[in-house]
Amino acid sequence: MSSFAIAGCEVRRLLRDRALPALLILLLGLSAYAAWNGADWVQEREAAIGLIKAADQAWLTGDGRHFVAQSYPSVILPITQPVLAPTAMAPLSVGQADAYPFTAETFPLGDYTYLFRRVWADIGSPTVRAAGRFDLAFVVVFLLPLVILATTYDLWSGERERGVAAMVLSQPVAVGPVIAVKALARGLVVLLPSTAVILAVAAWAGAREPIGLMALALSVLAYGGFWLAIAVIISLVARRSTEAAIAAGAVWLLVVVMTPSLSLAAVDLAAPAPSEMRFATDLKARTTEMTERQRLYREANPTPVRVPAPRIPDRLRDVYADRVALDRELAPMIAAHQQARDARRHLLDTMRFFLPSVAVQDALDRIAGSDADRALAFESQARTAQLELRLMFKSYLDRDALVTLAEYDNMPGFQFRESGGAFQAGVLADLAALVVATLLILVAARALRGQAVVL
Amino acid sequence: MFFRTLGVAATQLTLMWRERRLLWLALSVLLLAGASVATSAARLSGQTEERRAVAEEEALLWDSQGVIDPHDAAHVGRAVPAPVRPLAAFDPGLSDFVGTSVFIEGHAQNPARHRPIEGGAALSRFGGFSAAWTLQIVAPLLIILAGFAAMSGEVARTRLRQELAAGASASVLVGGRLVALATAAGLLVIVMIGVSLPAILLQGVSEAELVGLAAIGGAYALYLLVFCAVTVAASALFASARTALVVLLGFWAVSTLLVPRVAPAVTETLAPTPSAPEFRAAVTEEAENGVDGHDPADERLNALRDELLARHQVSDVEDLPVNFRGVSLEFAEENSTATYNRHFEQLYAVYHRQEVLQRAFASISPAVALQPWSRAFAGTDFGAHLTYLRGVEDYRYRLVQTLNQEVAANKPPPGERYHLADIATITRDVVYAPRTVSLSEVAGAQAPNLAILLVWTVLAISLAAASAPRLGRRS
Repeated sequence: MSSFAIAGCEVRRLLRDRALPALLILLLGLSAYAAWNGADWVQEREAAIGLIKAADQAWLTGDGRHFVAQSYPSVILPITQPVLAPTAMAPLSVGQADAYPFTAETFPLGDYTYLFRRVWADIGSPTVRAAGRFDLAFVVVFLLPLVILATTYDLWSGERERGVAAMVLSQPVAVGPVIAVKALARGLVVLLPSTAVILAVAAWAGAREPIGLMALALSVLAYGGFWLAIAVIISLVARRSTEAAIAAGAVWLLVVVMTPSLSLAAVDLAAPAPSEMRFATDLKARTTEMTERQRLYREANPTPVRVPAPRIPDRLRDVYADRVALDRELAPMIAAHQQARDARRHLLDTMRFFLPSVAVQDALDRIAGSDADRALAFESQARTAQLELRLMFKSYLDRDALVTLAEYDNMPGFQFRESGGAFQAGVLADLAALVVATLLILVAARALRGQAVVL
Repeated sequence: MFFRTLGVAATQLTLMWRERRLLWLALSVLLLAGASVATSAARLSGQTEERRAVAEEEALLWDSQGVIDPHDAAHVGRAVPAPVRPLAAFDPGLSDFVGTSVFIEGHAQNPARHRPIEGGAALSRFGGFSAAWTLQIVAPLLIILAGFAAMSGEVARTRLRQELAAGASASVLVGGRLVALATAAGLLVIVMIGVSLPAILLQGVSEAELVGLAAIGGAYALYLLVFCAVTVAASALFASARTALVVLLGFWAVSTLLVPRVAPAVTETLAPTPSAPEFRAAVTEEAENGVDGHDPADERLNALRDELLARHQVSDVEDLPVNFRGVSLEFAEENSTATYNRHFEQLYAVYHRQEVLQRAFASISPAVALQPWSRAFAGTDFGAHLTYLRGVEDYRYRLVQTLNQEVAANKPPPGERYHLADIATITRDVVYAPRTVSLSEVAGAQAPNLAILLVWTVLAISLAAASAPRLGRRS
């Protein structure tokens, strides 16, 4: 019996199964709704960014420019609110996009907290947020395995029950390749159309970047392959289809729901998130103390009045010097807090290599540009922009020069620099984790192949 | 008949007891849930301590401002931490998705900040493990696995035929199996609550919270009874154990996993929440471009000034017996607060509309009715958070207006720009009094969810009862 004959038989049998088209239609319906949700979220985010940009523009062309035009004795710089726009693949996954700020407020003399102080958190309904987003990533991570398991759980146990296994085993064929070919055939019939459905709805929702779609396809196939391998090992161990169905349900619950949830609980226990509330109050206390000390110093040591008076008052130079000194003083405190945050995030990130469902979620977030790393890159670039603005401010103070209208109009605005792309290192690491997990299961299945001949 | 039903139930319980795999599974789940409650309780105790320390430090910072312009103090502001709910150890509900402190200041109402959900990674999307989650998701699955083959499948059908031939009625057999399964489920709830109790008690819960825990336990018992009855009914209706299992697993997946996820997404579409920038732009437009203490050109402010000048028959604000700066600040605060309140209430109305719309989905998933009940009595729903927000806003308004009234009542000394006052002294009587929602209020708000759960229970038991005659005919 050739592999092609087994595969052909398996494909024909599966195609005759009326449950398969019903499952695929269900997947199509749910995926389409999820993709529409994703597209809707992108539209909302773009509208929000549009409002922020409009407010920026109104300031730049209004009050800000007016101050420059009337040679106001200060350093008037075009203050803008940097924004993190959704990527072309954003409809795929909302990911961590609701959990990090997508806009900031830069100001040359702003302190560490200023960047996000006036930025309001996501005000979406907490009940909706707690339920989790129903996006394409949810369909891939949670529902696709159910479709695969529903069509493959009785891969070998069904043959046992029908007596086909006994007949096959009486032939001069090795059972391992037979099961492997059957699994591949089912994968062909279930996984390929499912992948096509997901790609099609993603493209329909606006996620049309070819490289992104390719990365999405690879992620879905890798994750689907992992679940096919699970189906193989279940079919080897379970004697009856009912047992196999229970085992499949239990493994799904364990891999997709329980283990990630418990892992998160373990991380919370091992490396709890540093308290932002405590940090904010401590920072405020330290800032208050420092500011008071600076005020007393300035009162005791007033800056000598220069003759002739500079164009930009020395009072502004004092403010600048005090701000720089304050930042230097607060730096160790901020660094310690950030270190604690980074350590926790690093642990959360590392856990994904042991959890296939989290690895694929991470891959989809990264492909969609809604991952934590991109949000953190935005924060870092916004801080750099603030620092550059401050240096620019200083250069005008040093030269005692007012900003001209031409300079004001031609200053570059914030532009987020993307790093990586759909096939960034993080995505490749996620795919590698999925492949390794699949291979480990296949190795275990190979070790258990003797179980298949027990009827 | 009653005693025969109990006899069948006792036999079924013995059979379930012998099915050690299921017992071990249930014990493992209990152990995990117990560990979750214990660690959550420890975390909550730490949070309580931390928030107390933050509140003390904020009070100290506020009082140490010394003698300054009272309006400057309004800009300095202070943070008010949210209370920690002891029953969050059992059901954290929305605790991770709402802010843990509100920064209060003059001119503006800020939303709560520092949501625990912030700053995560991909793994953060998989959170939510708790004792409540175990009872909502895992316990129904255990019930299905324990009961799907009670009357379906070759072995069970053979035993059933023997029982019917021995003179037992189908109703007694179905009833006995339902009682057995319900007893096991009830035990699970009792043990789960019992395991949670020491950890919760150690946090120093009030009597009301204990009553709340009892209400939560009762609702979970009803919820699991629904699954028991549906499982027994499916087992009686389908001769094949496989069919019964597939149908029950489908019901479980749809009602505990899919619908609770789809329902909020649909309601968000039907009643969309504005984005933060959209909301803020609308508020700012109305609040900041309306009457503002910093904008003397404002028309309404001019009208107020003119009215004051006319009342006191003077032509210059300097000749008024009050400090016009303070009057304008007080007036502006009143107006901006009204604007913020109006917009925030509109936002909360959207949240409420979403919750009402979600309730419609409870017709296909009892979990959708159970979740809000459990959260509300645990004090971890949006209603409890809203009570905190309103309490903070009430405090903010009183505090800022006290500062403004101090400015209004005192003109600056000659040659000085501002009147200065000791902030600790003038705000000593303005105290933040956290509000709590009474149990009767919670029960009133949650009555529709209880009604839905009761309807589910009646329907599920009716289905099980209706399956008995069919079972008698088919066997």
